Amino acid sequence: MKSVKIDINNQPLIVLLHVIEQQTGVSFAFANEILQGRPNISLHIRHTNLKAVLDKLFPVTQYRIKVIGRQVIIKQQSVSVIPLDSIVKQVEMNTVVVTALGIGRQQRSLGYAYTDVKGSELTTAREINPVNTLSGRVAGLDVNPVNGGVGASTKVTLRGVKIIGGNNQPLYVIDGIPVNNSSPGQAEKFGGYDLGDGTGIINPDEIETISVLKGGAAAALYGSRAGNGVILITTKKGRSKGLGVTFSSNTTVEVANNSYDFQDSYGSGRDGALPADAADAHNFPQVSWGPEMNRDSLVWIWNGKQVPYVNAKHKADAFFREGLTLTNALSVSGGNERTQLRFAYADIRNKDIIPQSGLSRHNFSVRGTSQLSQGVSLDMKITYMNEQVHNRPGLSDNSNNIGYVLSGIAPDIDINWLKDYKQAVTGDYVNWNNNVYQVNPYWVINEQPNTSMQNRLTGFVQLKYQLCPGFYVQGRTGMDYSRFNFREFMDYSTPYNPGGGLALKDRTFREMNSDILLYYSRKVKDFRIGANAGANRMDYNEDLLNTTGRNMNVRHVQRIDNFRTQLSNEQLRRKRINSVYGAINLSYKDLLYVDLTGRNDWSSTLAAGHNSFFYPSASASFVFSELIKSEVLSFGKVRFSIAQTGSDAIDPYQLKLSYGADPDIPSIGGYIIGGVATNSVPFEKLKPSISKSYEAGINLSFFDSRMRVDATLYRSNTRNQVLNAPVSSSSGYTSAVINSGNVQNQGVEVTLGLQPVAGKVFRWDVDVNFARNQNKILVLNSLVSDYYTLSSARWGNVTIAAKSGEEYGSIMGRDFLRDSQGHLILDGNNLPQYNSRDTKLGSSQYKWIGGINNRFSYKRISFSVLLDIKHGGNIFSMTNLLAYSNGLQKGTLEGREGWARSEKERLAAGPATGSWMPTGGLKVEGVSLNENAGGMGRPMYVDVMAYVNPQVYWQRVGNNIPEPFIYDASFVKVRQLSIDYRLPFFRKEVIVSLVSRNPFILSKHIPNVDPESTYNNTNAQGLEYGSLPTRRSFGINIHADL
Amino acid sequence: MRRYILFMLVLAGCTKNFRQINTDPGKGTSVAPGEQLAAAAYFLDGGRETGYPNLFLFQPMAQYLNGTTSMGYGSRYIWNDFYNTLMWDIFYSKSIKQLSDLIEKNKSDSMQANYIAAARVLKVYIFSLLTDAYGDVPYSQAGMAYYDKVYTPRYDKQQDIYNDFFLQLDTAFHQFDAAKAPVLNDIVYDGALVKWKRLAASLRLRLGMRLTKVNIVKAKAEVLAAIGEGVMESADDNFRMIHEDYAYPDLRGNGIAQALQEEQAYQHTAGCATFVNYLKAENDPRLGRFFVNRDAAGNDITAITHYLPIQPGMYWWDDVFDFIGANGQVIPYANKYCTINTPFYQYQSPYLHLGYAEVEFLLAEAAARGWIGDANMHYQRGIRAAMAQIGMYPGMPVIPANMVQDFIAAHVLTDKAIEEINMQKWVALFPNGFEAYANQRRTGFPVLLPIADVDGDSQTHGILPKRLLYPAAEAMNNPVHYQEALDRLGGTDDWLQKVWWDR
Repeated sequence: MKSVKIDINNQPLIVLLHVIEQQTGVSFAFANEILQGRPNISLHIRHTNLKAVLDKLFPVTQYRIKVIGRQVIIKQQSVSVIPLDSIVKQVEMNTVVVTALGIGRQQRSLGYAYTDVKGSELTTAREINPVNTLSGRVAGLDVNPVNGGVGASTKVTLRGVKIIGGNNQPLYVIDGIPVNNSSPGQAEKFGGYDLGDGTGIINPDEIETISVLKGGAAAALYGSRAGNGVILITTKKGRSKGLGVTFSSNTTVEVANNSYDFQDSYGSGRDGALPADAADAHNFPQVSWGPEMNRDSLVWIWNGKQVPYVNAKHKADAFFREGLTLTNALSVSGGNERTQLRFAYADIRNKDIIPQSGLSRHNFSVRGTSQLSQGVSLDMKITYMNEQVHNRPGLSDNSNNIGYVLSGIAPDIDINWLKDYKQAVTGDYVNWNNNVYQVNPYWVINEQPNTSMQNRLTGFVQLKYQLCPGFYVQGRTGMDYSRFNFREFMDYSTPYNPGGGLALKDRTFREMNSDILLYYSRKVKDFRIGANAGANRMDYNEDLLNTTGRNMNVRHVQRIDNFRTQLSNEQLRRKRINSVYGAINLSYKDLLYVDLTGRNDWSSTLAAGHNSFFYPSASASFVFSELIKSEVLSFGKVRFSIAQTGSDAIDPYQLKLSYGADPDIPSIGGYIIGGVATNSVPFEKLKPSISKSYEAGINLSFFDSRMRVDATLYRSNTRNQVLNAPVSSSSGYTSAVINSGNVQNQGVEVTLGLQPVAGKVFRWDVDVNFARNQNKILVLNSLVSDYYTLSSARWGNVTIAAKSGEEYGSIMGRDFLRDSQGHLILDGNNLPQYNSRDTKLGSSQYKWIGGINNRFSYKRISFSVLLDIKHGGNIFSMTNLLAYSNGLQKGTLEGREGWARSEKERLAAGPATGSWMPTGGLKVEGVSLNENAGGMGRPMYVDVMAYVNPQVYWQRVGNNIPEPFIYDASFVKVRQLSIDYRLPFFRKEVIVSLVSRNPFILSKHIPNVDPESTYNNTNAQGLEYGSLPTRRSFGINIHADL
Repeated sequence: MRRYILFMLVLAGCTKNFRQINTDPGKGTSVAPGEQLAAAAYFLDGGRETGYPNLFLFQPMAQYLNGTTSMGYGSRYIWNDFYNTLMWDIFYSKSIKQLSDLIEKNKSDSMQANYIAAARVLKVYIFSLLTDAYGDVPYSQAGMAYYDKVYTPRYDKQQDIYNDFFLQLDTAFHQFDAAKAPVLNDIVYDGALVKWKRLAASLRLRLGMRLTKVNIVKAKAEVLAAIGEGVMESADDNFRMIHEDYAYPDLRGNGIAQALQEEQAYQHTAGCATFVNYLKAENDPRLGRFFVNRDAAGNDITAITHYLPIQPGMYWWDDVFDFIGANGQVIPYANKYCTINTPFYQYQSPYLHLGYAEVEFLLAEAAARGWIGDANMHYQRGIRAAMAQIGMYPGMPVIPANMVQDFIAAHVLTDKAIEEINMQKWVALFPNGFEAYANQRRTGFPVLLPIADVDGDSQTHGILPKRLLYPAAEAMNNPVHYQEALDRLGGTDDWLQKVWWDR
């Protein structure tokens, strides 16, 4: 056969086939479906025969090739075999991948780390937040779901936290259009709800690939918001012949992953005594300092009854129910060579483990692609999403935080007693615990409901004009529009809102992106040059209206006009960024690739004179395996990149003071309360922040890709950050907008792919990823102080801080007062004391994270198990702190029996507390100050060993000393288990999978709660308070491609 | 094509409209000074969080009230960061900020002199609360983060602060000018400049008298200067803040009332023995107006328990013995103490910052010290005004004129005039814990009862703290100046160290 020489860069398969036809004189015959779903191809080969090329393009496992004379007939195999690598990623270096601005590139040419995930990985075992399914799959992609109930958001971090107190989440781009992932609301120190994020617009069934652009060079072309990396999602297009139908159905059952492990031998009461009467019993449903439980005694409960004092039949975890999630997705696509259409619909219905809580979501999308005329093509898409969530749980210190209430209930209190939550006649709330901050959870779910609704519309229109081979112009405009409503109702007599209440939140945002891109490529001998240039305008509009109504006229009526007091607060946010950018890609043979990019942004949020900023990047890739002939090494390249990314002020209006009437007190007695309307000092000279990053990496592939290594070293420094730094409140303000800081992140990411067994019948793939990021704040804040409080905990005076010289997210608080030998210094009552200055008690950042995915395939069955590992971080657990204070924690058992005995002896003997030496109790060892000894101005310490009342001890520690409640947050979880069976179905296949998400926690170090139990997606990681149990799910997935 | 690219570059590079885009359409670029003045005055006592330091720290420290969990901090002297920090955070960032901004923006416009003068008076008042509580505090550089870019204000010495107070009050007094623009939206005096002048002088009187311990000469000079300027002459001159009937989180309600209503804390907010026993000993008709005894059903059982007070330092549950009435009635221990009376926890209750009664007692003390004329006249006027003053609380029964007359007739100054005056002043100040605590430190009256610290919780071993500790956040947000202030206290933030005028 005649030898062929091919130089094709990012062209459709059909173009390649035409080239071959021209060179060899053969003609191809094939059904159009063989072109379906084929990515553009870049191929540079010389002196190869036709057969080799065809084998590469049409592997024998999937295609049959027949040659009749000069006619080459290409057919698909009768059964379309789903590639075995649909789960395990292949580092197939000649594949074309999607990079910034949607430009397809050969992966071998990239000078930076690149990972992609196939859409099918997200659809077998699903999560309601699709981003959660990425956890453990990509080196350095740190996924932290908020433990905030159904519809909650997820915090994603790539290569560490860069911006102090700012947004550190990556930019999401779907088909070239940035989508807004901001949350309409998050819980903080004093409570709130997780109102979700913007990822609901992602329909996993429609994802072709997800590209994770981690470093500066990869993302530099996306500008301002790409400093934290980019998650680039490419969705599926219509097919050009016939009708294709895909259907998948997923049914999962969810159960609470119950971690409660409380003591169950001491019940309600105080100081070892039971409540005195029914009135007194109101004080103790959540205080477990009573006597040891005993079937022969009776205990008062708040409803006026006396019941046997025994372990309750129904514990707190009986509150939860079995959840159910049904996901059904259908797509229909069809078209001809000129025009293709695709329609997709997905429906999620969820019944959460919290009674009365659930979610429903609908995603519709229509995509049309058309060759309008010679050289002119049109691509357009509209996606609509509707999501409703019922009864998002109150979090943190919200008075209706169910997790907070349940994790405190004394072991003798039966959860079913709480079902009588309202008065039979009046319907008023039944006071059960004399505590308006811990509302009966049955009242919460029934009389204090909340709902949210989001309507989201995204879409784009793109026109592309191919002026000549190698040169095209593309214009595009895209929109992301969202309307979100949240309403929270509190019926009459709800604790803390006794007159009833209604809180409404309406948020509308619209982001428009319009851009134009010119692309040019040309080959000169062994050199190839590609260049592009473009411009973009981004306009952002957001209106937020918060309305509260208080004191209702008519009970149960949930309309705002039913409330006598109504207050509103409106916020309007406007922003524009104009940009120009360009890139040059140079390559020499298949050996060396160099990319240069540059971008200039003009942002409306920065000061005049500082609002234009330019940032370049350069990267290079050297495929050294081209120079080595080796049986062992199939591929090898090294890569380097250096990049800058500029960032504006995310929030507008930070340049000068603004004034207005106080939104909470518009007037009193006719007098208007007004003035400076910000607590943050504006900064007239606000300039952009610049992040500079370096990266070096290596990709190696051995033994025909049986073993693959991808390793990256990186470092980034983010300077002149736009900070809203906390300042002394005596300055009149609580924070100040300034440009300051230098945060360094450096780390290593390694991905290892192994195929220990690669038989035709049995195959075993292992994928391992590992990432370690080291963060250090080199410079913080010369104008203010070297200490930036990111967030503070409700209890224990713990803060999460950024401090210069330390890593981001230190957990700061008081520790035990100790002498130089480390002994506790006890006070006159033999109780521990604390250092009045805060010290570092831990770090909220993990030292390393990783994942291990094993996949075993045997004939038509495959089994895979994904382990997710995070190691070395800490969490401050207020659930455990409170459980120690209220006597429910198992750790409070020590010394209780002894103390009860000692008290009995004391009462029999007669002396008062002060003049009795306890004979039992919690044993405390330490030293105490002897004021009479010592001398020479030095304190004299004497050793002390004493028994104290465990209740007094733990209440003292719980109130003042957070140190014992800082836990190791490391964990090893089985994130996902799945068994797939490929069932022949007529001439196609149906895949039936048994799946489980989060089935087991193999290792953790914190009792009673899941270590992944943060209550928001902001920078307040490392705090846990009244967390709900996390969920584990089991189910079946059916996927049919017809 | 090249021209097209150039065109695109120019278009994209355009920063036209940026100024307009980056201006918040929902807010203004200026504000009427009267609105800022109203905000500064209002936030001193509106909303639960301003009620906390008064109710949980100062009122128990002045031994007016105690009994609930939160009052334990002030009654037993247990450190609590949250309550301790509130007045600092709220006063500086809600009130001082607005006043600093008002003065800075209007100082060059002589027509606005009345606003500037009123702002000066309010500033002195607010800073006097802060410095009397904490000692040295940020003063000269405070509130100026926007104009002066001072994010970490220096702590001024209390002596310097006081010296400037008198200067500011005197300047303000002479600055009020009816020929200049009137004070509109004036929540304090509805534009009555003469009342502002009397407030300036009365505040000077109060702060001047504060110096009797540390500098009697200066005290006398300032007191006489104040009297010369003209202090309050009737209850019409009272610096009193209005409130409306709103529960927290609506800040329009009275702060103390909102704090007392929280979890119905008033049910266990008991009359302290120091206070109740004095009222009883003096046969004061206000006893039954300040306190009441109720059973669990809300019935008045005062006739049985006869205003049983709680010992300072105690929580309501500390003494678990039921009360046995004279006729053998058993009152469960949870209901045995007399508690604060209903009018005090009405959201719409006004709050008195500085009133005519206090002014008369200050004049009485000045006279008792021999600086001015008839001490007894001022003392009795003070009592009369104090009796009338509680009529401002909604639902408070008026004290019959004959009872007032009898009480006054029974109260004639003796040779213990300073004590008698300040004891009656203590009664008159209730429920203003800020001033009662300051006056107790200066005069030693009332003589405090030792606290009953049942659990050994007291972090001062029962000794009354002489100031509040600085907010813990200052160590992080203002470390250099914070350390300077600590160095002046002897190195640590010691709440047993006396403030300058208390030495």
